[in-house]
Amino acid sequence: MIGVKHLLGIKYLSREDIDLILHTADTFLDVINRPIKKVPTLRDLTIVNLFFENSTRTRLSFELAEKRLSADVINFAASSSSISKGETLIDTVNNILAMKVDMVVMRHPKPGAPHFLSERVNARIINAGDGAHEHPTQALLDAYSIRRKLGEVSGKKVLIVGDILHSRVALSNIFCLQKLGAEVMVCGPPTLIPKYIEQLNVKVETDLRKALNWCDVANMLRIQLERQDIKYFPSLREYTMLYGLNRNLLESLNKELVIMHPGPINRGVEITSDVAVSNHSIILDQVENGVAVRMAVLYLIANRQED
Amino acid sequence: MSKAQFIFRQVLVTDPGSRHNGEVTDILVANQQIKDIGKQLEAPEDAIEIKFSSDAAVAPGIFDMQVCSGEPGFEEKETLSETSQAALKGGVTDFLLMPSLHPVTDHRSQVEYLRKLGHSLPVGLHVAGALSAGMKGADLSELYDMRQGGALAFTDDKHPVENTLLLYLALQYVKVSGGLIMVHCEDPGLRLGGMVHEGEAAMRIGMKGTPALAEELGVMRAIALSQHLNSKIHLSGISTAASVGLVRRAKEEGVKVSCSVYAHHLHFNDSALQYFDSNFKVWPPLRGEVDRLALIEGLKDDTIDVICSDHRPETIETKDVEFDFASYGISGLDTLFGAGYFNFSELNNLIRKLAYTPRELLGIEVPTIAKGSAARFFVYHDKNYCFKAGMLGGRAKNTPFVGQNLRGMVLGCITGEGGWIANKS
Repeated sequence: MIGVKHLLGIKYLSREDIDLILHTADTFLDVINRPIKKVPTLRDLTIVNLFFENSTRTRLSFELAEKRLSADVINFAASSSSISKGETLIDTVNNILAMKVDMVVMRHPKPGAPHFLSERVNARIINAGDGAHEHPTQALLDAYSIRRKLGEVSGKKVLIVGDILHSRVALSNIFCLQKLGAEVMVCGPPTLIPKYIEQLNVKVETDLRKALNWCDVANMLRIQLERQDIKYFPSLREYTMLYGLNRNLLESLNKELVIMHPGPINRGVEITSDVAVSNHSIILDQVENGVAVRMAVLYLIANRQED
Repeated sequence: MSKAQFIFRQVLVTDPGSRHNGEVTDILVANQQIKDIGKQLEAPEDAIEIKFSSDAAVAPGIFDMQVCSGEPGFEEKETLSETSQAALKGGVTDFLLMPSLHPVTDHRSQVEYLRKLGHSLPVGLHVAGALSAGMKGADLSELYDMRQGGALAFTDDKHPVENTLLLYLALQYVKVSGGLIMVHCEDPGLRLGGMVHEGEAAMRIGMKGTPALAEELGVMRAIALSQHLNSKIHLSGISTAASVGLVRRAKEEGVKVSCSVYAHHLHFNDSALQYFDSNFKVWPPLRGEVDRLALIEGLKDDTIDVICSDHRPETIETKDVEFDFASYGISGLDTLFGAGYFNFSELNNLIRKLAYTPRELLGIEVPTIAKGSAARFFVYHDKNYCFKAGMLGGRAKNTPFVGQNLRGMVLGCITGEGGWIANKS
């Protein structure tokens, strides 16, 4: 049984919990590759996807995972909601739960919002990203993808490139990879690397070539201009000159390298198109694995017995 | 005004300014004055006798130099009467009311209005006027006229007086008007959109942090201005180790600088933020453990002059929301003494920083425990205790201290305005 009632972040999971999720995902990956992709596992459950921030792929991935498990699904987007009318988060969620909804998958722009919610409403909560805090299912699917590609995560050297300061993907990945025994390095402009990140036992490198020479896997994060209230670097052009991964750089390394990206890609910014579609890239595998991992998470959290 | 006579039996005097300091004695109060102090005093016929179990001690009433209330303008947060009840729970017999009201206290009429409201309270209400008109940081308020109306200090509360020229002018002008200039030290440009302290704790919870340097640059600026103009300045609620170091050096060089620390910064560090509880959302933010320990060192060597609460009552609606959306502040009057004593146990020095220095900085008499002095003291039980929600005296419930061990539960206060007011345990 998974050790947590809600999936609020990787930091609340044990190594055993992560192994259990990844192991369960293997089963569901088989399921979604069958001609009949659906199982009746969550047939009596209603799940709301509560998105207070724009998302396409994460919401679709969750919705597919829920439907593959035969849950009833409703979607709620903040833009069409009562939040703009001044309703509080608790009231919004309690109104939805009053319609006999069992689980909440929530994305929220503010760190800690799922944690806050989990202490105040009577439903299982799955965090689909909260501000720059955590994005646990992304980290789980990244770890799962590395494991499928390289056999295991333990002992691997994983590089995360880009805007570390504003990235929930980076933080969850660091926690997840370290729990699974990988080494982690971050690379990006010094203005986008948290000052205290080395206290998480993470290596820091500002030279992309050196960082790529070190790693087995490079996870190229998207530059999230919408989350930057300050101009942390002069221009996208200069960012790409320093931290963009292109074919020339990749070939000059002369090594096997697994390239990942949480999507959506800014082609020509963090990676060029030819790199994105090269043999090194497992970007579309990540998307496929994402559905299986989210099915595993939904299944394990929904079926966890009360303490 | 209370005309009753009270006789307090067998209490330990803890007052560094009293010749009875350290004695277990009786205290007779009549006509709002300490009429007699001595062992086994004979009680006048109509005196109310007040006895305690063991370990009861008395200390001069605390003067809290930084208190917000909701009246006028935000009565839903707390009225002045309710703020007074919170004060009495914490041994606070007098407080300085910040100008963050609606309307802002930036005019003599408001100062006089507030002081008039204060006459009906069981504690002493003292008024701080806004340094700038509307606390907007553009033009000086009428400091002289407000001072004539009874304002003791001038401050823009948590607004850091971004315009250095304005602070420069205020520090000059105050030499004519009188009154203490109090500033919140911060370089807003380096706040970086943070709501918490920049450190490992903030990074782990995915929150943007404001570097300690933002405060320290503000401290440097304030010290430099004070030194340049040879003018007194008071830094409200410093919170970082480097700020303590800067003030220490400035004092060694003879700069006329004083400073305060908020009790919650002595008790908590930023690791408290891990559960996103908005009761820990304060400004300046809770800092690292190194900073917390440096603040206590700063109290020991008198770099820090004053401990105060920075009492900021808030409602459930403004606090029980996502951390980012919650208001800053702690309802801190009730726990000022308990948190102060728990973390800084040099009792004589503690009493100095709670009751003496604030009054000395503001130019008002200290109510020492001595025959002939104004009867203005509080009684406490000198033991650790666990603070519970039911112990809050005011309306606001925004405190992170529930469940915390504190020291010195306040049993009651005596003030000229209210007589003896015992706290229900």
